[in-house]
Amino acid sequence: MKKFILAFLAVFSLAQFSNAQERYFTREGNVNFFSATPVENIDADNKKLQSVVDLASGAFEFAALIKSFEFEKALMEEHFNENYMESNTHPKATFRGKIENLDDLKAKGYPSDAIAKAKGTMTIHGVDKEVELPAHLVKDGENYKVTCKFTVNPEDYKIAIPNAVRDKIAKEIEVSVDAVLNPMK
Amino acid sequence: MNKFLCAILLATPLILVSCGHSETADEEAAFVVSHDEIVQSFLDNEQESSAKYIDKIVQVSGPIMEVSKENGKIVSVMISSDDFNIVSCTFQHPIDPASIPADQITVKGVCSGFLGDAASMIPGGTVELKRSCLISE
Repeated sequence: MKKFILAFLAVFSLAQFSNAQERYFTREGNVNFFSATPVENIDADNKKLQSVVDLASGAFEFAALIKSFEFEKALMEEHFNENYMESNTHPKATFRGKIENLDDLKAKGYPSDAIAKAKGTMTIHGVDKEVELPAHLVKDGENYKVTCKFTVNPEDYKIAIPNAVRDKIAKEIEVSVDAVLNPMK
Repeated sequence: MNKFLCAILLATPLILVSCGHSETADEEAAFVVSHDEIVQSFLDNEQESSAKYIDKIVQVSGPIMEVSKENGKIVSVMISSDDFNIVSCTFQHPIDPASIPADQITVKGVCSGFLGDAASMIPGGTVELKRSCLISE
């Protein structure tokens, strides 16, 4: 029995180790959102995006705390959190999915001009939405650089924009993700 | 006098809207904790800890795991003794690398929450502090 348990643990540890070997991650990625209207531009950065990719399975995810978005103006940050994102109730934004064309990217050596088709669930403001994100996954030495640009429609995530400020907030918010993923040891 | 009052009333919202953030260095910390203590608190009870710490100024001490630089200045620091349970701080103003201590650090910042999820591929948990400042011991 003892031998069986030891063998099981050895196999389990080996499996975990080989999983980790194929995983690349960061806790210091950048995510920026930009809302452009003729009245006002709104720009915020979060430098604490967490992201991970598993190059064995293609699983890809990123997550960010809403309250870690920093605005130049204090009142704008307060409105963003309290009135629109309701970040006390919905503190995180996440994407969990899979890179659909991983084998193709792998075969080409993860070139900078290839699009990684990441398909999965985006959760913002507590609302799940199936999305497909056009990302770039580029090998850079022992790391992988991931960049991704997409738009978010606040209505899709039940983010209510009051009429009084509707002309100050774009219908489509531009979001940029930029992260260097290091080997998970 | 009436005109003066009107001008003030009209200008106040404009001033408020264009105001930046207050300096964390000038504010008193609501909590003084070790890095282990605050991460463990979120791991034990995220809801309770969120209500206690988020939006509050928290002073945290612990070993430096990693620093990030931009243009030669330090913009953020991760505090951890095990690489998994981390307090991650972004500085309000970039810091001269020479002013960062060699191993242990104390920072004060606004707690923005906790990222950690058993269903995620990213191990451990991270408490995030924004607009942090370095505390000289």
